[in-house]
This record gives sequence, structure tokens and C-alpha cells, in this order.
Amino acid sequence: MNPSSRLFPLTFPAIAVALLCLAPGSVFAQGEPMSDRVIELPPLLVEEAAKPLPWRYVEFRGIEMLSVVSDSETRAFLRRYHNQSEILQWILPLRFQGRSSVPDEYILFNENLSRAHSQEVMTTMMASQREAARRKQARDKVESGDRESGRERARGGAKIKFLPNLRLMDVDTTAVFVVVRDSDNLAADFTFSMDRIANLLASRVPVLPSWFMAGMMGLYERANFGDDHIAFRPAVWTTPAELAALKDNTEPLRTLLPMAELFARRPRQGPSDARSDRLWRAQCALFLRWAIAEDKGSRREELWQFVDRLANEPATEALFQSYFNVGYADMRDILSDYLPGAVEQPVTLRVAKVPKSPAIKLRDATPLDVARIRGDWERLQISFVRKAFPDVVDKYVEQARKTLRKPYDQGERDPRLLGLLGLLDCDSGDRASATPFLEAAVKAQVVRPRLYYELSINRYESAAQSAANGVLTRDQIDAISAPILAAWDLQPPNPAACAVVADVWNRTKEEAPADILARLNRAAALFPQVEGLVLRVARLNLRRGDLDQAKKQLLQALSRTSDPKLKKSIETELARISSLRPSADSITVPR
Amino acid sequence: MTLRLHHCLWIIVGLTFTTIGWGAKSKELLSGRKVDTLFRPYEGDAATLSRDGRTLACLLRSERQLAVAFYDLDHREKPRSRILIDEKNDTEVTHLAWASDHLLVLVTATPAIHCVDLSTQRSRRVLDSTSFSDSESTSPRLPRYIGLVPSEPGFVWVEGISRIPQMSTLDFEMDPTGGLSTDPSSTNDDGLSSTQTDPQTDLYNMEVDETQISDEAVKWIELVKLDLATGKSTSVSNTSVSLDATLLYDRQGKARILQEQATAKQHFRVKNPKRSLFSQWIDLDRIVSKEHPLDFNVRPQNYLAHRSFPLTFDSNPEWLYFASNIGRDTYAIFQLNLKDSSIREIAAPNDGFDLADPSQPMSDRNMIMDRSSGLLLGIRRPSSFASTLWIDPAFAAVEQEIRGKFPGRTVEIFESDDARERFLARVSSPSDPGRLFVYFKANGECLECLRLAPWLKREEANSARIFDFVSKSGNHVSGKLTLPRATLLNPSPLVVWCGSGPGGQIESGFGREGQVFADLGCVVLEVDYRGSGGRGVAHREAIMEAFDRVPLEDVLAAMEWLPSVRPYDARRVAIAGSGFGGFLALRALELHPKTFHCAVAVNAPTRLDQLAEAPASERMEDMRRFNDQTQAYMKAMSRWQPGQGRMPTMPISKPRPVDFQLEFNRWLYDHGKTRLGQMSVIGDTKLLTRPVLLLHDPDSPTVSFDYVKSLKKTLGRQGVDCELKEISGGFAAGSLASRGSAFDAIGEFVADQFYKFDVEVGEAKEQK
Repeated sequence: MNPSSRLFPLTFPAIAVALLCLAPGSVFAQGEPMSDRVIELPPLLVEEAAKPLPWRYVEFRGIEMLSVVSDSETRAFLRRYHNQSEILQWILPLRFQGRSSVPDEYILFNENLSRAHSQEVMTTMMASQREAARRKQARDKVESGDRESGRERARGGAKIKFLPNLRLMDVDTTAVFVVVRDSDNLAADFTFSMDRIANLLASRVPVLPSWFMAGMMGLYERANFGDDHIAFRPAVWTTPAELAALKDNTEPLRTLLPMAELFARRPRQGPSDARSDRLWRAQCALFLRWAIAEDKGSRREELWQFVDRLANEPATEALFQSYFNVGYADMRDILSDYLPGAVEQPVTLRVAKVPKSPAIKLRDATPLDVARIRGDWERLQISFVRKAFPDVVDKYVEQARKTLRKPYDQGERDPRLLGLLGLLDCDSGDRASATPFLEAAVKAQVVRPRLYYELSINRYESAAQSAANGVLTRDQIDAISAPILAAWDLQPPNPAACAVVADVWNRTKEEAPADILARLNRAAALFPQVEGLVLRVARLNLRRGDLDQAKKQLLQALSRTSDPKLKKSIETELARISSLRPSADSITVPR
Repeated sequence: MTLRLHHCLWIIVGLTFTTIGWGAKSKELLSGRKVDTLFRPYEGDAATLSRDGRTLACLLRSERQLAVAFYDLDHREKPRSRILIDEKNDTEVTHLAWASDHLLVLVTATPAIHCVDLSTQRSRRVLDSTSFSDSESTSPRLPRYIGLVPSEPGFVWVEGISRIPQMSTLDFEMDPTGGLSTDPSSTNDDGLSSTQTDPQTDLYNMEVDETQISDEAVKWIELVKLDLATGKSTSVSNTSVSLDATLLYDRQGKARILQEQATAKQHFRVKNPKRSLFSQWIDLDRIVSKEHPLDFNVRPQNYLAHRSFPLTFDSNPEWLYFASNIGRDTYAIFQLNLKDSSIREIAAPNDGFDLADPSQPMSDRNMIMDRSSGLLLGIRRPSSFASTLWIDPAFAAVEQEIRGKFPGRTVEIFESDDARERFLARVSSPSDPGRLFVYFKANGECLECLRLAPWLKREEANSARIFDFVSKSGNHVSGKLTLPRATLLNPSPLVVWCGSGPGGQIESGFGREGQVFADLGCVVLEVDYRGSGGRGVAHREAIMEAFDRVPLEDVLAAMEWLPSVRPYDARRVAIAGSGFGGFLALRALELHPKTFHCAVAVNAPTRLDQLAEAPASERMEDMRRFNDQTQAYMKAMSRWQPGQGRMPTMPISKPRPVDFQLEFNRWLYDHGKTRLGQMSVIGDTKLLTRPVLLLHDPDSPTVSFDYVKSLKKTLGRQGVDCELKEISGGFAAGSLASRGSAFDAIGEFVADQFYKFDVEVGEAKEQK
């Protein structure tokens, strides 16, 4: 039995990747698209190839930073970071941004150093890549006659390129690698990338409404942050052709979604309709532009309060009207009338003076600082490389292990370092080796929610191997749950961890204790979009006899899922509830 | 009691605004918009979707021009094309329809018929009153657009006065190609009474002849088939009827129903289309069963009561749609088979609202017909609570779908393409003149095409809604409430607007009047008081009890209910109205001087029987003509000697055609249960102590200016603050510009009354 795989659809949150743009004059620059001709990889630093780097360390506003650029440049970067964070709150208040108990990790690197330190790896990789391509080409020839595999032909001719700036995310932290060029003006040019905003929105708990997240992304894409203002460039619409038509015609034809649909819709739900999805995203952004940027931002507070309310109740016209003084139909009309002007005119939102940046206290980094931050960064690269170019993943695993083991081998037993070694083993598939490191880190109460989750998973795997008919004993359940429950209040809450607790209680005939079930019910309410969690918690409620709660959760899961198998399973559960209480109320299954 | 400013802080605030706003006599309203922006003609007040659903044509009134805009619905990025129709932008357009895949017919009220050619991007006036009317007559009958010729793209039916020599009082008709129908006796099996064999019909035909007073009054009404592309017309039929008669044609272009207007008793008569040359009009009542009379004759006595009236023909020429409230309180819609006299109920209201407007007989305005099949799709209610009763469930489903996308709005589907995939709809509300949408059934998309009043910003609109409640006395009271978006005083003043007389009703959609007053910071109440139309006979006839007290009871009930929705300043209440509504406003001031602070009366009678008098200009004309004839007679008599030819005859003035509305008013106000003298404004002028504004058209055809001048004089003697201003005749005719000017004056008067803080406004009263 593999507990992780049984948690489907609770797939482990994908490690996302993003670019952090430092290009002068541009707010955001999307990374070059992954093409067949260019393979983009995260930078790989091989210190052995050169003299040790003069790392500096600083803690600032919830981030830990290693820097090899000058102190003045580092300070300029951090002041800008502070400024951007403060201004961002004007359009995205702190309470709508995801939080983590674990500091973000930043590595500020120099462009020239980066090139020098990556050269050796580059040479190795190129050779490896050519050899791999040659082998596959030969294999293909044998398998398919003389036809050359197009994919491999392309790959054979591809270039390897190191990404200059990269954001990598784990479930509980974010690591950012920034390559600073000599020409960069860190004090003026640095802005948060779209992916950072996406991450802030997506990691917020309770989950934000989809329309708000999509709208904020669209709004931010048009925003330029100044020192005391945010300038929004003219809005965009669904397609360039429709945008041009809006600009060129006096009374352009246009379609706007009803507000009820705008608020109810979720991306990738229902039949795939690219046009209507584009319309939905564009209109979400238009609504936020109207609510946040227009009329000197006078409607922002109403918007925030409205979004607050949506954490606990569905969007209704009455609720909307209570904040905006107009009904859904009027709001649609207002947006429709606003649209032609919005695609033509920029709008500026003046912001209050940004408070002065806190003191930035730089010091020389210790070997442990360097190992922790660099090592964690290199660990996070593994998943990325595994997807982008699996042929070289071993090189990255080796590098991460080298970085983390160096102080360990020298006798360093800092629990944070041990935790990272454990996570590295987990990521490289060696769970058995990970366990002692994880146990030590958890025992030392390291603030890193994923450590607790991984330890629980390891214990679950062990218990599952010895469980008779898949049934767990109370001791096993307690042992598995203990780490997760110990880290329950750490940020961000992890729905997968909650689902593990729910899952183990589904593997015993015992009823889940009331306090555990209460926690799980709260988790199910926090993550209504995670059907796997909601479904498991519903089953526990059902077993306990709380049919109303179970029914509510099952219906919630049913409304969210698009997986036909899961749908069927939920419908069966609902039918079961009906059969348990046939006369109380019949359950109407939403279609 | 004069209010002391230091007692009420809010008044100080109000005074500040007053000084800034109304002290300067600004015409700008509190909302920042001007009165005339509210009284601009709407864009897109006529629109039509091509039958293939690919092109939408809308009327545009921008840039001081009247134009038709075309939208390519399959290539939305393309700019709309625009074809100029007229250099004036306020021309009233009565019809806009696709006559073929590229030709549109546009009909103005002037009247004129234009052909708008999408393929050449040009428009052409193809027919007007100069080319098709009886210009020699003293009261010329103007050409009338009848409709599209089925199955012949590019052709329309037009009715006018024939230019052919008069032949006889008998009709003749030609087949649709212009050939004369020949065999008058060939069809004698249609179930209709024969004029030659039915003595009763002969008798009735004699009555017809009696109404045809003189040769001048009887004309040949010609129906022509007009080729829009060439402007050439082909005569199809000629019918000899009184000039004041109205004909209803079936969809084959045959005159089938005749309504004689110029009689005190109006008849609806029918003719068998097949029996053409010698057929006669027979009373519609005669072809329905005597056991179930429908009473198709209109008399003043039954005008507001129980009767029936024809509406339009089905694609089957034997099926006539009619409305009837015989045996019921509200009008329902029926189908009469003219061949076998059978009757089928099509739709009956179950909500207390009439399905037809009795003031609009022989009109298909509210009947929604399928352009491709000619079948009835639905019936649009004429009531304040406009909605459509769909016969075709597919349209009902589409309307439901669109309604779901626009909660709280009124959705009116006008037409669909032939495939029923695309639907043209207007979405509006009492706060919004509306927008035109094309709904795509395949993906549920609502494509917004045109705003009717793009110059009115949604954010500036005052919120309006329809209300309905049961008063303490058990009466259903409904109407429209408009709440100001911004106010100068808290609570806001109240304006009660009385717009309709017996049988009339308030406008259910966006109300310009309500917006003007709300823009002044006032709550506006419009009440469909008893006596108004649309809510059945009992509601209409209730006003017979007392023409002033009954409607005012409902107004007062609404004022009592109002604070539960929105409190208002009971010391600042104005009542205003036009015509009968103006009379009501003045009576309210007389009967309830403690409730109403001031009144505005537009073109209002000071006694209701004044509404039953012939217009002064007509009386003067009759008098002048009679005097001339008498003088000529006297002169001739003085010269005449016995034996010198025929003795001169006494002058007998040719009777003026009967004005049914006057006849109705005469009967109505003569048969109320309260004597007119007991509800006379002029008789109770001593009760008038509050400020009054009188606006009156000096040439008003309904109420002589003299009466209003007399009232002004009397009030002046009593020391009452009364102002009399002349307005143009356009107000009564519905001219928006005239109404805008009048409401500018009314607004100024109301603002002066409400926001002039040195005047006595009465004691503060607590509202419960």
C-alpha cells in the first residue's frame, strides 16, 4: 500500500516555478517559452571550481537572503522590495496574501560570477546532452526505420541556457535566485513578478474567490508601481481584434458576462471554451480595475469587505448590493459602459507615503547559513530539472547533497540543516534515509510544516506495510497523526496533511475523536476545492452520525469535482445518506 | 410656523446647497445632468434583426441626424455601417423592418416610407404624403403603412386615398397582382351572411350610408403594393369608406375589418374577402353566436367597461385575433374563425392585468408574430408591469434564460432569426431606458449592441421601481417609485406625479418625469390610482364614484405606505400632473391643504366637463363659417324676388365629424356618482391657499386657455402665489423638446418651493 498514491486526488502541490524579472524598463517579462531549441535550466553553482564566494547574510521582512553583490546593491534591492510590498497592499491587502511561517529564501547573485561558476556544469551537461541525443537517435532508427524522431532531432540541436532569475516554490516556502547584472538599477527597476502575485493569491487560506484571483492577476499585469502611485496602463480585452474593435468603434459590440456568472465561475470548469474563459478573465480584471483603481480607489474598502464575507458565504446579489449599492444587472451595465474608456485611458492610483524601510543589517554569512539557503535552493531545483531536462537531474541532486552535507560532515547538527537533509532524501526518493533527519528536526520543533507532513507520510508507509487488511491500530494512527497535529497551526495550512489525518481515521473502525473531527471540519471548510479532503472528512462525519455535515460536505465536493469516477463515488455516498434517513429529506444532486 | 435654522443643522447644509445650486437659477440638476438630456430621443428605439440573424439594423439619432446603423454580427470587430435617413434626429419612426435580405423599410410618422439598401449603403424616400394622399380634401387622409407583403421580398402594403375617379359606393378589389376580381357570386359558401339575402344586413348597410354624410367625406381607400427598390406601386384594392374609418387588412392585403371613428357609436364590421365586388360590410357582432355576444360596438358607456375589439389577423385570413373582457374583469385574447364563427381562447390573464389596451383596437403592437410562419408567438402586456405572455414555449424559455442574466430587469424579446438561434431583446428597467442585445442560444451569450441613451450615465440614474401593495381599505395600489441618488435634505421632499386620466396608465419603463424630480433630490411617487387602465374593469370603473376623491385616496394610501420604504419630509410634498392629472393635483391642494405644499397643473381643466367641450378653435371656426353663410343667405334673400328662380335656402352647417373622445368624456363626466360641481377646482378656489404653477398651451385643443386664465385671476385676487406660464402644443403631442422645457420650469418651481428656507413649510410631523 502506498499512502501517498492513495491520497489521490490530493496530489502533492506541484512545485511551481516562476521568473523574477529585473529587466530595466519592463514591469514583467515572461521567461522565454520552453522551446525545443532552448533548454532553460536553473543556475548551478559549483564553488569548488573557483575561490569561495564572499556571501553576506541578512534577515529582512520575513526573508532570509544570501548575497554576493555589494552591500549597497543588496540594500537597494531590499529597500525596493520593502517599497513594492507596501504599495502592493494598496491593491492586494496583506490579509489577502498567502502567509508562511517559514521565511522566503533569496539568493542575490552576480551575473559574471554566475557565468563563471556554471561553466563547468555547462560543459558537462552539453556533453551529456549530446550523448543522450545520439543514443536515442540510434534507438529510434532501429525502432522506426529511417525516420528521425522530430522531438529528438530538435532536442539534439537544442541549446542549454541558465535562467537568470528564478522563483521556486515548495509547499511551505519560496526560494528566489536573482542574478544581478551590472546594468541593473535595483532601486528603480525591480518589481514583483506575476508569478509572485499568483503565488501570494493561490497560497492564501481560506482560498480566495477565483474571480478575485483572476482579476487581480489581470489588474497587476497592467500596473506600474511608482514611489507614491500605481499607474495602470489601459485595460486589455479578450483578443487583440476585439480590443481594436473596442477602440475603433463609437458604440462597439461587446459581451459581458452576468455578474452572477462572473462570481460563480471557476477556471477550467465546465466545457472547455477558450473564448469564454478569456472573457471571464478580462472581465474579472475590468471589475477590479473599476473597484480598485477608479475614482481614487474609493471603492476599495467595499471590495475588501465583500471578499472577506465570501470566505464564509456564497456571493449573492443582496450581499453585493450591500457593499456596492448596485445590483448585478446594474453592475454589468456599469462595467459595459466603463469598458470602452478603460481600454483607452490609463488610470493612476495615488498611494499614501510608504513607511521608511526597517534597518537592513548585513553580516557575513556563516557556513551553516550558506549551506541552508543554497542547499535548500538547490534541493528545490531538483523537481524543476526533473521536469525540464531529466537527463541532468542527477547533477542537481549531487550538487544539493554536496552543499547540505558539507557542514553536516564537519559536525554541524543544526535541526534546520537536518530537516533539509531529510527533505532532500524525500525529494530524491530515498525515504528510508530521510526518516532520522526528519525525526530529529521534528523533535527540535523546526518551523517547517513540510517536515512534519513528510514524517507522517514515512510513518504511514511503514504502518501500512504492517497493517492487516489495511486497518490501522490506534497507536499507528496516533503516531502518524502526531507530527501533523503538532504543526497544525503553522502557516500555510497544508490540505494534504489534513487529508492524511482524515485518511488514517478512515482506516479504523474507531470513531475519530471530537477534537480531531472538529479540526478536520474546519480544514474541509478552508479547502472546499480539495475534494479528496472534503470527501474523507465527510465519511468521518457520516460514521459519527452527523448526516447534515456529511451531506453538506459531499454536495460541496460534488459541485467541485470534474472527475467522473469521483463524482460517482460521491453520489453513492449521498445515496447512502438518503437511505439512512429517507424521510428526513431527499437529496437533490446538483447537475 | 417658520423654521428656525439654528434648530436644524441639516437645513443649514441644505441652505448651503441651495445657495450654490438653485440660488443661481442653474438649470443643472443635483445629479449634474441637465433636464434636456433626459428628454432627448432615444437611440435604437427601432431595431430589427435580419432573418438570417447575421445583421442587426438599429435606428441612430446621434449628431442631429437620423440614420440606420448596421451591425455585422458574424464579424463583430467590423465597425458598424451607417446610412443617413434624415437631417433631423427627432423624426418619429413607426416601423423598421427587413423587407428582403438587403432592403429595409423605414416608416416615419410624417408619414414617409424610406427604402434603406444595405447593399448600396443608400436610403431613398420612396413614398410620402405628397405622392400618395388626398391633397384636395380639407382634411387629407395620410398614407398608412400596412406591412410587408408575405412571400414577396422587397414589397410592402401601403394604404392611401385613391386617385382614380369615384365609381360608386360599392367596393372593388384587385388580386394582388393588380387584376380585378371578377366573379362576385362565385364564392357564396363561406358561412357569412349574404348582403343580398339577409334583410338585417341590408338594414345595417343603410346605417353605413347614413354615416357617409357627403361626397367629400366618402373616399376610395386604396391599398397599393409598393416596390421598395423602384418606388413604383401597384394598386391592389379600393374600398369606399368614410374618411375617418380605419381598415384592418389580413396578411394577404384584403381589407377585412372596418372601424368607423366618426360616430358616437363605433362599429367594427367585417367583410368576406372572397366575395369581393359586391360584398358589404357586416357588423362583427352578427357573425358570432347570439348566445355569447361579444359586443364589438364601442359606446361611451362601455368604453371603460365590458366589450370586445379586433386586434389583427393570423396568417390564416379566416382567423381574427381579438380582445374581450365580456364575462370577465380583464381583457383576454381570443381567436375568432370568421368562417365558422368558432372562438378559441388564446391567452387569459390570471394576475389581474389586462392583456390588451382597449384604446388601441386593430393594432398588432402587442402581438408578437413569427416573421417566417406568421404564427402568434406571444402577447406583450400593455400594463405597467410589462411582460410577455408567450404562446410559443421556446420563446418563453429564451426569455427566462435572458432574464436570469439580468436580474430585476425587464426583458422584451422582439424577434428572432428564422433558425431561432439569435434573438433580439431589449433589457431595461424603470431606472434605465435600456440596451439592445442579441442573444445567441447556442452558447448563451448576450451581445450588447446599443444603449438607448448612452448619454445617461448609469451611475447618475436615480433608482426606480414598481410597487404594489394592498391599502388599509383593501385596494390594490400600484405605481412607480423613484428614489433620489443624492439629496439636499434628509429626509427628502416628495413629489407626487399624476400622469394619467381614466383609462390611462403610468409608463412602466424609464420615466423621464420621475428622474427630473429625483434629480432635484426628491422622492417621486407615481400611482396607478383607481380609474387608470390595465387592471381590469372594476379598477377602471371605480373612479365613477368620485373623479377626484377616489384617485386621491390611492395617492394618500401610497404616501402612507411610502415611509416603510423610504421616509420623506411630510412638510415638503408637491403634487403635479398634466391634463386630468393636473386637475387632480389642484383638487389635492384644495382637499388636503395640510398634506400638499404646492401643486403644478399642466394643460389641466378647472372643471372636468371642460374636457367634453369642443376645442375653442373649432368652435370659433364653426361660428365664423355659420356667420359667413348666414350673411350670404341674408344678402341673397334681400335680393330674391318671388318668381326669380329658387328661393335661397337657409344655411345648414355641415356637421363636424363626431369626436369619440369628446363623446366619451361627455358621457363619463356626466355619469359620475358625484356631481361635477362638487369636484370643481374653480368652484372651490377658496380652498386653494398653497402655491400653484399653471402651465398651459394657449391653443390647447382639450382645455381652453380662458379657464386657466380665469383661475389665475381668481387666485391672484385671493392673494395665492400662482404663476401661469404658456407652453407649446408640443407638450400634449408628446414632443420631447416641449416636455423638456416644461419640466425645466416645473423643476425650477418645485426647487423654489422646497429649498427656499425662508418660507413657511408647516409644522414638523412625525411619520409612523
